[in-house]
Amino acid sequence: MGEVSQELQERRAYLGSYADRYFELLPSGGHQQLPIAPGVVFSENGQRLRLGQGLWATATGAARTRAVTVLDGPAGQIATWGMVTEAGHDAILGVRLKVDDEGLIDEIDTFVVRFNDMASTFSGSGLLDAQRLAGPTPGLLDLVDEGDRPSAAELRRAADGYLDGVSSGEVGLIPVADDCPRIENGVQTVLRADGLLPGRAPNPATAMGVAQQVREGVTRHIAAARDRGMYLTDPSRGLVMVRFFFDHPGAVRGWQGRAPFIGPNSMPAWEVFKVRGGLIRHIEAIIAWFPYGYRWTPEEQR
Amino acid sequence: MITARGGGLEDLLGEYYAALAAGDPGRLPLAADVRFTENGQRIAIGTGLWATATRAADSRAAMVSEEAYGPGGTAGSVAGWGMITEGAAEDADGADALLGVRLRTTGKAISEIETVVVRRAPFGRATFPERLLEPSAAMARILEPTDRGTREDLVRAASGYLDGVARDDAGLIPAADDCIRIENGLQTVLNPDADGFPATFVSSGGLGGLGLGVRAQIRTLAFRYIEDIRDRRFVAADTARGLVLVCCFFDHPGKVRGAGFDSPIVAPNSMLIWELFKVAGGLIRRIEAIGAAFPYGMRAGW
Repeated sequence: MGEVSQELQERRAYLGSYADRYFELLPSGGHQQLPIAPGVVFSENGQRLRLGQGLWATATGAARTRAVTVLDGPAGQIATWGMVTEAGHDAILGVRLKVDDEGLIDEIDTFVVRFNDMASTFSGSGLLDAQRLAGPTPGLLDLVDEGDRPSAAELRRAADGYLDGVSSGEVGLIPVADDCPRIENGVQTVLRADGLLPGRAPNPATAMGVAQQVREGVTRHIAAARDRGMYLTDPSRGLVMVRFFFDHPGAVRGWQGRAPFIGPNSMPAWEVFKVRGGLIRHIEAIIAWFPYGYRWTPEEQR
Repeated sequence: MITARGGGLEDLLGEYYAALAAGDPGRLPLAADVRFTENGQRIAIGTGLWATATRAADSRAAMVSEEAYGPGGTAGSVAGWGMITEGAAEDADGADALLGVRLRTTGKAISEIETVVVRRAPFGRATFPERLLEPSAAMARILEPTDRGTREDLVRAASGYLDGVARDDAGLIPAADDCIRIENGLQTVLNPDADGFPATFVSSGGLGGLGLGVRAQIRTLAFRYIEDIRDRRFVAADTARGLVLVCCFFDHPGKVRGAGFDSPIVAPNSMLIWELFKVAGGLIRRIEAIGAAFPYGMRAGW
């Protein structure tokens, strides 16, 4: 096992405690008790809101443990997601916190994945396995042996390679292990022995691996993985997170392939990759359904 | 504004729908720097609904236009809404949607295109109401000269309505007792038999009583879940018909903890609403509106 410096360990500890506190305080709306820097910037689903608005006003519960966490000590950032409830309805909350040099939170980006949500462009019930997201994903936070450990730059390249490959159909761009699982909103969407997603019709594509799905054209409806940003890297654990949008143009005229969506949409995603020995070994993502062309920030939206 | 076929602004709107169904924006007299939004997102002309629409209804359910003459030439505004189909029009893969289009012309060219696509049938219905396939004769009727007001009078009446709804103050709303309101094709006032509504909506007590009139509904305080009606733009007025169209957002914070009222909307959202008022003799006589829900805090892109 590799060693992590004392300073980084301390920074990890307090970043982790801030994220814990965020989820603890959420159901009571007590955001004032967070160590917040003056002028903190807060967003929910790409909209700049006042801290206290949005989910802060409606959350009624939050899990004590979270499914996924990526800690980027040098950048002073943590990203994590777990289950929350809003008036008794399950939702997934992703939070990214950035702390300034004085240890105060100066940036908060949140991503709330709601199901059967009026504001979603997806009118069905989205896939969710709340149980699976209720606790930490096994093995995700394991340290990677020094010899297999990617650099921060290699981590970013792996994440970009996946997104480039999935959106272009070029499987050779994706450095992925054949047995790599991919979990989206808590549901495994590759290598399913049963060949079907819960509550859906049988779909042989779900039995394929990540690379095979791309090779077989299963992802052809994805036109782009754009506006990538918010990269957080943790080389000691081989983790990288990126947020972006999958653009789905829908059932465009003349389209001969399978189009899972009739109308166009853009799916915002936060996606975490665990990389070891140069290959992606595990993928976790949270995904929602927004209007086509949606952007993450008000500046981009103008 | 004279269109390529020699018609006026309202013909131009019809040409927009025809060009859309053909997937051919090149038919339209677009300015080189035309600005286009779909559901609040700035995207390229030809993408979004332009790539998926396969059919448009023969006529629009509602329409309003306005021309102004200034030193720079004639500026025109026309807006309306009607039904379209996305995906394969002839088979089960297609889906109906309600499309609102606002065009602004400068000289002979279209300089602004704003669209809102309502992809979910309203109020939990499986289909869009038939009414949306026919022009609203009541809205198109020309007023007697004695019943007409100025543009400012029309804007004031519409503003009174929006203020009254946002502040739960029926006294601010200059509406006739027999004023009808149609939302996404369904009559949401003075409809005691709940014509067109699914039983699930009616049993939830939706809108504080469908049998009541516009002002009586406000007096039930059933609209307290509307936090604000913001970013109001009065985009077109027709004094001869007593019509004024406002594009705005209704902010719904959702089921807020500790609120002294219930909200039928669980999670926060902002609804982009286009609301057309018919005003005669100083009173609102009829309201027709379309709208869809988007992430809380979203902006229109204008």
